[in-house]
Amino acid sequence: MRARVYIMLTLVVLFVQVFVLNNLSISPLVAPMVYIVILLMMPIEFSQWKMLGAGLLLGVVMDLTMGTAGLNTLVTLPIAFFRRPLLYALTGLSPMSKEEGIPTIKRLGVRFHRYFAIVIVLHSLLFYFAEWLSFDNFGTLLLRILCSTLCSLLLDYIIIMLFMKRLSA
Amino acid sequence: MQKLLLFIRKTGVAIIFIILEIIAIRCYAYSTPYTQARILVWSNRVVGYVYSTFAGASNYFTLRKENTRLTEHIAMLENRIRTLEAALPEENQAIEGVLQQYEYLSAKVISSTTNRRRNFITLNKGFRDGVSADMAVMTPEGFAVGVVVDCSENFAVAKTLLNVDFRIGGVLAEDGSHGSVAWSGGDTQVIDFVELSKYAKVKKGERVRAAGFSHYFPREAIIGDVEEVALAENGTSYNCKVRLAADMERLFNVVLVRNTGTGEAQALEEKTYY
Repeated sequence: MRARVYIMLTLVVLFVQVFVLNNLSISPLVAPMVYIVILLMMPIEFSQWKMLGAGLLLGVVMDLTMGTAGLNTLVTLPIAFFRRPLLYALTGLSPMSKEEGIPTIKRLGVRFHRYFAIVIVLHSLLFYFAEWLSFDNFGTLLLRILCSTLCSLLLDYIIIMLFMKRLSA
Repeated sequence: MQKLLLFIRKTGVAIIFIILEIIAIRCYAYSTPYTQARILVWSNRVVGYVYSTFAGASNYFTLRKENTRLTEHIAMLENRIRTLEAALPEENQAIEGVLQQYEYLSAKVISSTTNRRRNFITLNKGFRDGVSADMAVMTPEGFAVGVVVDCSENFAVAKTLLNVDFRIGGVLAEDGSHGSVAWSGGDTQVIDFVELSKYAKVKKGERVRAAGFSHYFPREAIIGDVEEVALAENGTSYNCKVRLAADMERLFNVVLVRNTGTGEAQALEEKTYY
């Protein structure tokens, strides 16, 4: 049941990213990237091998749909690889606790928000810096990171809240 | 053996992660000329000093030869200046005006590629030394090499004529007919000189110079000599093969040239054309 909800969440996120956000041009400063939530919501017990495979797949799919030839993959790979240590460090879970299932607010409480927000900010920093590759217009880059991260966070929260009840069930 | 297997099991995921990340960075870097130049600039911040040391060591062995070549070149230039001064005393002021249009800066090549479709060279001078994007790169003999595309504090990256994304205007030295110079990715000594009018009096061995309107190179910059002449398929123009004057595989010292009139000319062109 939970797996089915997770697959639904993945499909919705991919749809929103590929068909809505990638074609939306509100401002050059706003380019939200919500797809990273797919990696964030993967089951706690997933090994680094599985996470790396999922990160690679997600990155390649996003690169193919966005025509960015490696940009998304090079950003999703470190997020996927360091997701386990980040999850344990930011939620206070112990690797020994043998905790299983999808990380939810019900399970992690306030610590979920810390984990969720920090990883999304980290992903945004990596993505927009790799995209810009320059400090020449640092002010604009900073503004783009700030606006896009806030927008990504907001959209990710909305999507998660839509599924949270079913994921927690 | 058991220890090796244990080590691989422990570190395998990290190794695979690093390999995948390198592949992704390479794919991204080679996706556009911009990312390629930017990533080269970033990597030069890290490995540029190592390159400089190696380039310094290898330059040491060719120092004597290079010194002789430069001395001969200086002597030739001095002779040329005296001849010009004697021949054109009243036009000196006009010549000075033209010379002031360009600023020159010397640099050393610390790394270069010639085996790719988009080739770049890295120079040991950056914006701290006054280098900026769009400066022309030439050999001390006046042979066109490329154009600076990006620079960091201490290093600059230039795309060379051996870059499929690079195209400049060329002109036949004797005939004065214009065409486009671009590399199609084959022989590293030969470049294409295309779109040359079918009425041009082009012959084998004729010199091709940079066109004055190229914005990058001074008019006297030499591109090479015509090696092959063929009429294009549509019969309206000539397509020539030009043997490059600059030896791209043996670049050591180069001269950077800034056209101080470029900005003004481009602004005017944009205003008028678009």
